[in-house]
Amino acid sequence: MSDEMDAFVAEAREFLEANATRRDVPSTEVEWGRGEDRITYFGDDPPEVDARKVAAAREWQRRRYDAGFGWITGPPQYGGRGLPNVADLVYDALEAEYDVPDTSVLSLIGLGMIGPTILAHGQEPVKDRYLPAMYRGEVIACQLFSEPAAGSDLASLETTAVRDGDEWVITGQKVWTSIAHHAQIGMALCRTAPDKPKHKGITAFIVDMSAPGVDVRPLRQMSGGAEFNEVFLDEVRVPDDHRLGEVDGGWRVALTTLMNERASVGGEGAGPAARAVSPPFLTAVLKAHGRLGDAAARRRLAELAADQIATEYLNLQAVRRLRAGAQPGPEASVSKLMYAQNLTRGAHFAAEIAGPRLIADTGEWGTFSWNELLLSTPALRILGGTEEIMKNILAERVLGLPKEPGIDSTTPFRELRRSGQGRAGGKA
Amino acid sequence: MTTALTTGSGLDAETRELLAGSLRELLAAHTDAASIAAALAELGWDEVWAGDPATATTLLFTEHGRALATSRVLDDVLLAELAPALPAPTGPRAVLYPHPADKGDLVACGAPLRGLLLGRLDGVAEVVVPAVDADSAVLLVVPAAKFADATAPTGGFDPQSGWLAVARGPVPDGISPVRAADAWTRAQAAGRRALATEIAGVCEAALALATAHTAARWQYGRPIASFQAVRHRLAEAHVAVVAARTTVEAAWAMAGEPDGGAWAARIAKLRAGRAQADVLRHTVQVLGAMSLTLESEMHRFVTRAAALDALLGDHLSLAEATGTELLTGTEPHPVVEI
Amino acid sequence: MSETTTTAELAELRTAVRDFLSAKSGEEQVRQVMESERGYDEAVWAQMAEQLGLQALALPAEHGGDGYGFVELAVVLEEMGRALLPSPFLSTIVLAGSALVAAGDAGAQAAHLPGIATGKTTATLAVAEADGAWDTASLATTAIRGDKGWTLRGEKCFVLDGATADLILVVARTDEGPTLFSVGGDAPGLTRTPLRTLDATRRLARLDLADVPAVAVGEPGAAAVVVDRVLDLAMTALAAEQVGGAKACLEASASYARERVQFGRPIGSFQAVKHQCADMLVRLQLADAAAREAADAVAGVDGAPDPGVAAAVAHVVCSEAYMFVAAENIQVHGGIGFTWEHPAHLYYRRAKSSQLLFGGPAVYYERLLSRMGV
Repeated sequence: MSDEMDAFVAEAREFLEANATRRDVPSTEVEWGRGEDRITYFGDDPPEVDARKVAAAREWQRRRYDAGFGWITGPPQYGGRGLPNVADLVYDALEAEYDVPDTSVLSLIGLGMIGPTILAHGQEPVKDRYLPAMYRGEVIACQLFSEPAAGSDLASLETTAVRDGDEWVITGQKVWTSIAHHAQIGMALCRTAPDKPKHKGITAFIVDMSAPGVDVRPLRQMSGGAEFNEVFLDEVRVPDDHRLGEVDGGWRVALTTLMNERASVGGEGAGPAARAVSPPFLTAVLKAHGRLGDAAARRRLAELAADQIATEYLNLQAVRRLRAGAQPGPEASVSKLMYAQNLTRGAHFAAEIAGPRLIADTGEWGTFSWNELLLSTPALRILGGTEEIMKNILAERVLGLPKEPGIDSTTPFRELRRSGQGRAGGKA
Repeated sequence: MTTALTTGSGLDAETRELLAGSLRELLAAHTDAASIAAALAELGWDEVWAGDPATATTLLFTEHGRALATSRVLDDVLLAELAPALPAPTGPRAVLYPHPADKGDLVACGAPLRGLLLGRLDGVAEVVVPAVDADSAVLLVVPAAKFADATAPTGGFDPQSGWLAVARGPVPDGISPVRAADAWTRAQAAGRRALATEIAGVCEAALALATAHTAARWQYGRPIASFQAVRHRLAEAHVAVVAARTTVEAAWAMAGEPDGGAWAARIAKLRAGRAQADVLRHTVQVLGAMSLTLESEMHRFVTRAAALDALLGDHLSLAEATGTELLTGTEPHPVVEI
Repeated sequence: MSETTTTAELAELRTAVRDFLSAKSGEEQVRQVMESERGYDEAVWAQMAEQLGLQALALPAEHGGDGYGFVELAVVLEEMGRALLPSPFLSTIVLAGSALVAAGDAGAQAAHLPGIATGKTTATLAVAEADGAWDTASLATTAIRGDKGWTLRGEKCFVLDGATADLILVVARTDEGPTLFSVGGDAPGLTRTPLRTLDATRRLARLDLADVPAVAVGEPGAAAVVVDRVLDLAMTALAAEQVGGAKACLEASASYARERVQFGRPIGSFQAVKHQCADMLVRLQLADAAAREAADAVAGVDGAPDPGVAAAVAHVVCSEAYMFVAAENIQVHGGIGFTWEHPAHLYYRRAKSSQLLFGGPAVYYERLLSRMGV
């Protein structure tokens, strides 16, 4: 590593030592029967607990920012530190050794996706106003993209933005908005030219979530939680300087957002759900149910372990390539598919071993709790890009297979057919 | 979607359609065990059943599954097989099912009772409990009052099932076990056929919901049902349900055997239990993000199908038991002549 | 030992091998050689040594090798797998070559490695017996020490290139434990019977040993450790080959899906086909990652995972992936994929024989668990 990197590491280490405690080195021995046995992919905390966690996240982000670790790769004029991408990975790896608050409520969408989008496409006033505040944990951002009639086919969205002098007036309905209930701003994609083909008539805006007309309502999930929201926008006024990118050029902006999912080292693979289906934990499940000698169960365990370990290798190699400056390949999509598959199969396997204890709570530690995970694993194959869409993308972009023929990318949006009611282009 | 039955049914297709319709209305109008039982009695269900048990059971449990109904109609199926072996009842009876967590083991005679009840014991006089006494299955007839403080809602995967668990119930002192191994075998077989049918009903309703959704939901300018990935999933799900139904039909053909067609009934339950996992996986996936919400009905089909699988032998336990028997030399009974 | 090869150099090596194999071992040649008695083209084998130095690549420099490591060898093996090259490379270099290196017997190394490095000597390793298990704990083949030295008695089965190898290394039971021996291919008392195999591009033989004179290689009783190491290297080598073959299948499927028109459009525009190809891609990416990591691990690259686990993971994942991809490749090609004339079945056979080479699923899952300490 270079001298600059060495100095950075030393500084980061000093900061972490002074502000956090080191994690106990996690052993591969699972302590069966101790501690919290709830395992869920979604957070399902009561509101007070949720609020506390968000406050802790903000506080940690503020400390990081003030010490120079809040936006390691961002441009200094907007509060960043201007270091190369590798510094991010280096810091993440170091921080992983410490027990720190989970900042994903800030970083997953806001800092990881919307921040870079504002940087790339925002006008100066918006960059100045929001970027430092976001990376300092003061402003949380959410994504106002999906709509009830525009899921996989995001470009067919119907929320409208109509120009009125120096402002735009936005009306519509967004859905599956995580974090909206904590966010101060949202990035909204709106229809601004219904007479143009669907991809060509969209504009992106930053919306103040406290503006009149913004109404956030939680969505109840079958797994029990309510992490997602519907957001109703009723004639919300947004200044033109909050527009991102060109008028009618919003699709390009959206692609920037969607491409920017940060590949964090071990990110998704480190959550409680992923740990619960890891080989050591599944081995402990087998042992606890006296099935360690069961040949069929062992075989399934080996199949799962092989896939999980290989997925880890895939992720490691992707990180190595990125560090070496190479362009990201299809690994991210492959990894997402494998992550969903591994988690689903692992949860089902554990559930089978725990057996019918799931159906009726016998109070045994480590059995009933699998229900929540089982009920949330379908989400992985649906949210953030369904498995079917991911496969389309892989096949079309990597293997060069032809797209499904369709006229909807050249027909004016107003003339497109949509669910049930014939023609698109009206208000939601 | 009533399938043609091969058991020399006394009921013609038109009658079956009418009955199915009546059952649908009944289950829409009545949602608790007592009123369902009363409404069935009023419909003259006992006579329908007596005339053609296979068709009657199939119709009732299909609609019960489709409607996600909760009642104790399954108890009636088992009690019909058990009654001849038992003393005359002092009042209405219910069945205590082996606890799913015990994987098919019956509670030992003299030990605290444990198991699953399909609902509250209001109005029930006696609970019939299958148990084991020196390696032989027996039946215990326990006064319902003894269960007074021993039940708790199962919670679990399907809290709406209304099922109650008895984790550590009363020790049945002074109750003489009735030797009834054969009756229990027949009752279990009848119960498994009924449950397999109910599971198929749940799956069919889920599939109908998924099919309707994919036809109505447009993305990329066309109904998502026109995309092959979606169509093929629905097709796979359909095949799984049809296969499960066919196996139950074949099981009915063996119901007249001395053991009540136990082997075939087990296979039918196993098949249906396995099918529900596949079917619901496909229906959830094609419903997309909506299937993850509480607002959509889909989650209810997911949980109910899984709960029904767990009763009288989940598909994994049954597969294990079947495999063990085959490996120790049991001759498989042909379910279908090829 | 080996210098660090750059990405560019590895790419050059890959191109060189690929071009060579396209010219010398295209589909037509493979089909011809498959039918031959020997099962490989001796001229091509000699050219591999003379023109590209492939045999010498990863053998120790002090015995005529070039001193490169497994990372480089993996590139060569992948290309060989892609081309379905019928050749005794896996047996000679990976099985026998690694065994000689691992046994640490300087005399044996000096006697045999130079010939192997130049391509003059083909060789193999015989471990499995009638049950096909690569298990040194329960051997029936015995070595007897007599006045004139050792003789071997017993039967070895499923010996890779056993009928044609010039040199055969045999693991046999002695009082001290499993021991490695070397036997000449034409030794007295040795009967070599080619086995009829599913995959004609990979030859297997049965060896009957009736008091065959043999020379001990390494310490008596020390063969278990040697075989374990060879197995790790062999699984890793096989993984590279499997990835190469799977890549050829996926490319064939994608190409066919882009070109074949039915119902007025390329079949690749239908989701069912598209998703099949995507599924193949996902499995292949996973297999590729596993194979690479295993190669790094057995080569001792800094920061690589434990070689025992990595090799076992690679073996499981690549075996399963190659089977899946080879099967789907036939499916994507429809009716034509099922014909003798189409190469799809050749890959399918190779996928199957590779999957079973070291015992198959009956064994490789447990092997992984044991390496993981479960």
